[in-house]
Amino acid sequence: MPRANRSYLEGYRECRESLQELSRGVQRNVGKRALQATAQTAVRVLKREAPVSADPYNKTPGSLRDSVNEGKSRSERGRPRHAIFIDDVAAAPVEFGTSRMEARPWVRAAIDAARPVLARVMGRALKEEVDKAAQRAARKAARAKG
Amino acid sequence: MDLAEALTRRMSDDAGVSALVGNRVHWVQRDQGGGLPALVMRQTSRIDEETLEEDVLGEARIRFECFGTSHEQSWALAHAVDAALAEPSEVDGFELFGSEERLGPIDLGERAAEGDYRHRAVLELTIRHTV
Repeated sequence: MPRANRSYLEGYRECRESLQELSRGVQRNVGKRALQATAQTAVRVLKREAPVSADPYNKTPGSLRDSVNEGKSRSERGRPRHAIFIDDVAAAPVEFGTSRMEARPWVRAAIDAARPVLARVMGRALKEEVDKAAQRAARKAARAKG
Repeated sequence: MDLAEALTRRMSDDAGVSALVGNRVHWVQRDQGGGLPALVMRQTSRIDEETLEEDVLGEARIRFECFGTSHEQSWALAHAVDAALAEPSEVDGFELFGSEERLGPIDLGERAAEGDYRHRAVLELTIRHTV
C-alpha cells in the first residue's frame, strides 16, 4: 500500500495543542486560512514554471500560465480543502501529451520542487492564524468576565 | 545502473506486467507500430537527499503510461504496475523502495488522427531509490 509522502513541520504538536483549545468552527477557519496562504504560494510557483509557447502562430502565448488560479475554500468531510485550477484548454495535453504531441510535464515537477517552501509557508501561516485566534478568544473571554 | 534501467528491468521481470506487455517496456517513447499493450515510463521530477549516514537517496516521480487495445487492458496494466512497485525490490544492487504517493490511474484515451481509439491509462508514483 503506498504511503503518503511526508514533509516535516516543527512545532506542529504545540500548534495543535493550542488549536484544540479553540472551538471547532475557529479550528476550521484557521485551517482554511493557512491552506489559502499555501495555495497562493503554489499558484505563484506554478505561474513561474508554466511553459510559454514560442510558436509564432500561437495568438495567446502565456494563456496556460495566466489560467493558473486558486479556487474557493470549501470543506470536505469536515476538513478544509483549497483547490488550484489550471483551466486552459492546453493544460491536459501539455501535461500528459496526446497521440500528436509529446508530454511536457511541469505541474508535478514544480510542486515537488517547491514542497519545502510550501511546508514552511503552511507552518508559518498556521502559527500566525492560531496565535490570532487564541488572542481573539482571550479578548472575548476577558470582555465576558468584565 | 540508473533509475531508468532499474525500472525497465523491474517491469520486464515482473510476472504481472510482463504477462501483459512482454518486452514492450519503454522509457519516454514507445516504438511506433511496436504493438499493444505497451508500457512507457518517464521521470517527471526528482529530488536527491542526503541521509544521516551520508548516503544519497533519490525521490523520483515516475509517470507510467499504460497503452492497451481496450480500456480494461490499459487499466489492468496500470494496476499491475502499481502492484509491482508497492513493495521494495532490488535490481542488481539498485534498490527501489516501496512506492509512496500515487496519482491515478487517470483515463487519457483519445481518438487518434488515424481514426482509431487509443486507450491510455496514466499512473504516477513517487519512488525512493538508491542513487
